[in-house]
Amino acid sequence: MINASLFANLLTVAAGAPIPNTDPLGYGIPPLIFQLLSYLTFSMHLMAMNFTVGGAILFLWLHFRKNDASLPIRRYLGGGLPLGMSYVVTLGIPPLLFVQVLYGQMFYSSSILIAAHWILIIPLLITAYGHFYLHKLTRDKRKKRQGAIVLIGLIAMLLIGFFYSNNITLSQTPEKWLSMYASKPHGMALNLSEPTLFPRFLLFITPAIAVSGLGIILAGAFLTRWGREVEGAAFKAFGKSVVPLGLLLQALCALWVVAVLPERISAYVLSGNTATLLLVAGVVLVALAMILALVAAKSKGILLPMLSSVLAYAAIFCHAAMRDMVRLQYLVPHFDLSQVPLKAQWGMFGIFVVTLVAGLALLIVLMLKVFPGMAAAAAAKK
Amino acid sequence: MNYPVWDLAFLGSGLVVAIIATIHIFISHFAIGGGIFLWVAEWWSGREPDGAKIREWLHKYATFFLIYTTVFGAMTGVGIWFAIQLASAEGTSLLIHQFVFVWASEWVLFLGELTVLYLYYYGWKTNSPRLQLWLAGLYALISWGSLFAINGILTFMLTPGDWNTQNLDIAAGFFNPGFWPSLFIRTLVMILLGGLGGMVIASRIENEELKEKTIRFCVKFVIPAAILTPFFAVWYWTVLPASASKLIEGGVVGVGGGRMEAITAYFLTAVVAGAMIVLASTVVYLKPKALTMMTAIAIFLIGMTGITGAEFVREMARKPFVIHGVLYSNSLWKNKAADPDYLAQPYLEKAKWHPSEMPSSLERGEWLFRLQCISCHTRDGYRAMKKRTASWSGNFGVKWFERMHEQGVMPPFEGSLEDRAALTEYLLSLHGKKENAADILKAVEAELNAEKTKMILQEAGRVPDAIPPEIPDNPEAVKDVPADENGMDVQKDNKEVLQ
Repeated sequence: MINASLFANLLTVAAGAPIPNTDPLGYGIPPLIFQLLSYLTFSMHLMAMNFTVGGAILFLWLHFRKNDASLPIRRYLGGGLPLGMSYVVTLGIPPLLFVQVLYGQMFYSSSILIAAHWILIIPLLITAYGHFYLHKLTRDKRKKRQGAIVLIGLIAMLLIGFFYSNNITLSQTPEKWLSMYASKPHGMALNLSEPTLFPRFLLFITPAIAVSGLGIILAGAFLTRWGREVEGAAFKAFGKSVVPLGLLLQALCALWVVAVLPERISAYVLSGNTATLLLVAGVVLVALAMILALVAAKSKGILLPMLSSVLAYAAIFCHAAMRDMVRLQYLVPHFDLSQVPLKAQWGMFGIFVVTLVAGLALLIVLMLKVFPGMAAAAAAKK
Repeated sequence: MNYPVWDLAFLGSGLVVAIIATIHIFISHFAIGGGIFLWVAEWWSGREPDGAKIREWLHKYATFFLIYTTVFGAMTGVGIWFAIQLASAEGTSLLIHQFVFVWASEWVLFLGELTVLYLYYYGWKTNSPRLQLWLAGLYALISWGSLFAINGILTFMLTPGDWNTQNLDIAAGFFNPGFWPSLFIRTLVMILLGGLGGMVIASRIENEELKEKTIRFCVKFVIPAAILTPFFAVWYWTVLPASASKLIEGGVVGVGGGRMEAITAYFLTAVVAGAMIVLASTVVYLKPKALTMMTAIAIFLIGMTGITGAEFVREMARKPFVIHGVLYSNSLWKNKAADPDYLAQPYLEKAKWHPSEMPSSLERGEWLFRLQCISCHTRDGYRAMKKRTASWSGNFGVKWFERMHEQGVMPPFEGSLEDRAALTEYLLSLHGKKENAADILKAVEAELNAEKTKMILQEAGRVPDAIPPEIPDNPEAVKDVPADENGMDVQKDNKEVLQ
């Protein structure tokens, strides 16, 4: 029987792609668990990213319209940027970890091919984060240039997303690697010839408007609950107007992606398998989330907007899982998960699960202790 | 060989890692020590009669702490992760696969650290003093927990202990010989930095009495930590692999001989910085009102410089490995390197990341350089090969590659005799020298024949007088080459190799 590593090498040679050998240490748990953990955390990362990027876009939209009535919404969005940013990064760590475990040999190779751009992400992160804090700390003292400050942060975020799209699309097309490395060994490459690059990048960015719109509706619901009805109504009205717009843009980008996907990939997605189911489930969940958000904008209570947020998260989860299936399809015949040996680390996995459960429980207890005081202070501002 | 190598001109990917890591180490150590400091200061403010004023100062500390540690600390932490995968994908893959659940658990701690810090900071006005004390304590504990996790992986790289590719015992790798001494040293240094950071913020307090009291409180963190650290450093020294301590010792002895090795320079930097901090803090304790912000920042920076020195010593002691005794810095596995037949196989037939057709030996030499050398060296920038090969001849280069690993700071060369000649041709071409690999090989062959002839004649009792001098065929190769910035004295090393 041919061992997995040798088989991978034979496939690599056959396909003319320099795919590195799988890591000899293998997977510590069955890959399906890694995949599920990855979808769970990646979806959270996307929610935080959407809230932050969308928050910056909507902030700038309101800021440059110079409408005084929108000041409370601008303060909410602008004040949330640094907090959102810190969770974008923190929640981005586990999916990045799991993608390295699952697809390390592809991911590292493409990262090195675009290395100069990839490492730029770090100063860009600091630029975005720093500018968002700068805005929050100086907005009361210095009214001027706040638009420019947030704009710089937003541009940095968009560039980071663009480099990510380049890396991930390149990581699933190994047949491009060798000629790219031979002509650009200095890490200056980008995957600009990839037809799905721009629509895919936009497909990640456009939900930002809808998710931050949802966040505004949720904030409006809390303001109403704290007795600040006028502000609450303004928040909800604005949120209600941007959610459908965001989803419309997202739908257009989704159609664009489908139009440019290689035929074998689009045929796979639409062939009535699990990927199709996830695609449809995601679309249905998005539609439900939008309907609930629009209803929530007209009603009182925080249950509906919270439920809408949960549905939006579930929709993103479905699409994250579908995206992974598409990735595996792209990687045929170079790679499949069964090539990697399982070298069980169940004890360590148990330690992680215990740490995770205990950590989340502790955080929930602490939030329950701290939030009532904060809510009372917010209500007192009435 | 398995992965492409980032051919980053002038800087080199290793220096990118070093730059980001240095910044991160500054901040992350402060992030944990500062957390412990915040906790104790919270407790202290509750016991003092002017606790409200102390808390005002503490809020400024917390604001600085929050932004400094999250914007710069957390981002550069992610940055190290980005950079190491570009500098050594093979090594990163090993660490990720072996310690995936340590990383994942560490992430839970990050999440907790961040959230608790926000609950503490944004609840400043609404939380009860008791809750604030709890939150500060939890922050200190959780952030120290993240040190505990990463310390196991960091020390594993230098002292993997009983772990090896045949014994994938995670506990043996994590609780490796360097784990405990390193954990104690880092904890002490963090406490020291927490105190130094407190001095920076306290230097701006206008109320003189409060300033005096607060600064003396801060100094109490600094001096004990600075005095205790060397004892744990000695402990760490005793668990280092023999080759690593030999490398450091060689440098230290070199100073006596008038030669300033890079590794020695870093070692001295750490020692001098520690001594300066003890002295400066003592003065500050005696005359706290005299402390200006600039002076406090200067002392803080001295602390940072000391840490940089110590970290560079640790990094260099690992040479030529990325995982000591397991994986060389250029991604060659040590167990494979133990097989001479494997090493002698034509390199490009095994390597994946190069064009399939290379018409000239010069081109082949460049790809050999790219795939085997540039994870540590550049052509003419950091650890420049142009400088190191300034006086090489073709014959010398081929011999150097055969034996360069023997002194312990370079991995063995992987490839055939033809590969060595091609790489030599490429390195000579950096100086505009045009020595073809085929000609280099002919010269090597001629010399070997001459050596054989000499041996035969010697065995026959006849010492020839017409045999050309053997190594070095180029006397310039072993003189006037300066000690380089990485602690390698090329002149000395060349002589050793040739002996």
